[in-house]
Amino acid sequence: MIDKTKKWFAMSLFNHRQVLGFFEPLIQVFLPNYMANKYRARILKLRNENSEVYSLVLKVNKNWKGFKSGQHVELVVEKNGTKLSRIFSISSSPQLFKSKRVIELSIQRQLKGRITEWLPSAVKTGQYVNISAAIGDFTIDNSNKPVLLIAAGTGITPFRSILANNANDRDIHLLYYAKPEKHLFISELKSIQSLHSNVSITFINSTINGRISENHLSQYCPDFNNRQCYICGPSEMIQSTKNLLLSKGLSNQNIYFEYFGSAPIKDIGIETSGTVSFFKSSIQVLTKNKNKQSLLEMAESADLKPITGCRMGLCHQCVCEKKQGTVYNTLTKTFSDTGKEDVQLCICVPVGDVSINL
Amino acid sequence: MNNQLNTEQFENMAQELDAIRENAHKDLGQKDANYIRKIIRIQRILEITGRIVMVLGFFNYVYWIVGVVALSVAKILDNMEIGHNVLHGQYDWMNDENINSRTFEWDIACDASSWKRVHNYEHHTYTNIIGKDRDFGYGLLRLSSDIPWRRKNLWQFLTYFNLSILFEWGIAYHEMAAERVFIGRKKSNRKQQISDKQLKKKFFGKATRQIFKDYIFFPLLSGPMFIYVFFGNLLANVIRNLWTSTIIFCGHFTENVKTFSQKECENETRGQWYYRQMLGSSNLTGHKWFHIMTGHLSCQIEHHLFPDIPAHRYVDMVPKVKAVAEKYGIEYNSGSFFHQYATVLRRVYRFSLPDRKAVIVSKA
Repeated sequence: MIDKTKKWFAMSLFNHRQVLGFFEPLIQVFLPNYMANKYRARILKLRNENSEVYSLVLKVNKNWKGFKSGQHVELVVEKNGTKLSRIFSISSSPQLFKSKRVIELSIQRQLKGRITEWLPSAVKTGQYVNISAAIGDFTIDNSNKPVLLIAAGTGITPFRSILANNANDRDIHLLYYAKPEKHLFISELKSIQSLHSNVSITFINSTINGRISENHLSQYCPDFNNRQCYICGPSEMIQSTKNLLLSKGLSNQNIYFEYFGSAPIKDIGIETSGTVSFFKSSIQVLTKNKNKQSLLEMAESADLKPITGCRMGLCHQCVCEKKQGTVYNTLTKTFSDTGKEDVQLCICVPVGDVSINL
Repeated sequence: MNNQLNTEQFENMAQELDAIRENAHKDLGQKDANYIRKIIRIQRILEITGRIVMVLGFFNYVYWIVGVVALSVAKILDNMEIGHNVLHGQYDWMNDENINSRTFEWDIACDASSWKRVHNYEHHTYTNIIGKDRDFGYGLLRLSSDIPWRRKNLWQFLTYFNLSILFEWGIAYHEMAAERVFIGRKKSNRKQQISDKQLKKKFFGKATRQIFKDYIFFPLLSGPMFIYVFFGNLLANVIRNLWTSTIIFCGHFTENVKTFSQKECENETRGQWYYRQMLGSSNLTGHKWFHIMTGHLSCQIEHHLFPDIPAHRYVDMVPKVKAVAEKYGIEYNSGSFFHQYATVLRRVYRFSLPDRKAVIVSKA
């Protein structure tokens, strides 16, 4: 009720849902990159972890409310006038945040990625970016049940935070898969292991030893059946690991997972098949290479009725929020960004998996 | 079908205009984002100072006048260079939550989403097609001999004057297709995307919010200056109405602007669509600040060709579009504000009388 009244007054007096939205461009004069519904964070440092991964060290604003290990944030940066957003796990510990208001986001450089490749060269220390409140429920409960963490590649990032936070009081076993020389935070993880007898870490070279298998489980962590299992990595890895654990008798409620890494913009034009998910109506439509339909046609063929107009990319009636995925704009002949943004349904063709808020 | 040019010429012209669009589109970036944010900042400063300075009229009436002028300019900037253009989706690529066509709301009686639906779609797609473009004369004025003369057209000069004064309410009423919602007249050739109930809700919701702001909240806030602020806000709204109405009439209702029949626009190609947009619009020449105050509707031709390119770029596109128009022998209607406005008034007057020529032709 109060919220509704507040919103009504903000709309009436300022034509914005939030009063601060009206003042945003003015506040930006004094607070660079201020956004009314995001938090500001100052870049302290950009630290290379290896040739493919770097950590963004951020000093977050006073009103940011903190996070639990395993959660992620939406990072918003402005590139040539366009606000681009991506989700990244927080890899640092809650203790670091509490003592210094500092968080770290560890980011993999995506080949042709619009943000991850560009960011290190574009941002300067001291510059401000925006983050959302911490989100996600890939967190560890307060019980004292033993835990098995399974990470692949940059999927280690939420576990770095979990280990730093829970090493004191939890029986934790980490299986960490990566290509040779690509394991991240090795010295840090090893020192946690040597300081805490309840933490054991197995670094696995995935090129030599392959992906997770029954053998790995029984060899490295024979008591996996008694543990809560957390999986983080690329989607195929999550699927296969989950299936393996289920087949070994673990119950669904003891398996937690987090899909990781936004899909890089692949060689588009070749692979255009995928699934278009209409989020609000929870309808999914498969796309095939051959019959290229606009998102609008797909929505309509699924009996959805988005508002439409000219159907030639002119009137912006059918603009809808794309939650993620890449679309090709047939009018401007450009590919979209992979993150959250508005798209015109009538002239956009999905490229791979796309989620539309409709 | 329009056949001043042959199919190939239409095709070539479309390609040349597409190339102009493409060049501007490729170049969009930080400077456009900075530009619109700068205009929004100026608008905010004018609005805030306007509302405060008006109250100081308590000490000297000059403050009141300054306040009213500042608020009028703020409202004009909000409606024209910011609102109109943002709602066209010109800045959607910025992906900014406050500067995009999906969420933007403006300081005018007409609800943004209702306006966007009718204006961007019906008016911009079917520009100057009699019977399809409801903005042609707004159903009130007879501005072409394609529309049958009725007795009420005799006093349409007065109707036009009233419409200008009350423009924001006229637009609000018009864009919700009020004759349909309130009176129940339905047209068979229009599909309905939003129910009458929703339209009414949006209309009354927005109207209430606007009235509350300008005629209740801010006057009450100023205490003993209630009356001054009330009438100051009223005056600012009227000044904005007169300005926007005048500029908009100069864009489509100057003397030489052409109209089209539904039949000749069937199965139109992109080239023919461009052609109709050029002939259906007219430009105003002027200083940089004049263009900004018109929301660059002074470059109405460029706006109609490229409605979702940020409007401040139209000025640079004018010579290129003009060259294309000349090459294909298409009339490019441009002139000074006073010249163009005089022809608007002439048009409103001319068509208020029955068409003498038409009578003679039909006899012969």
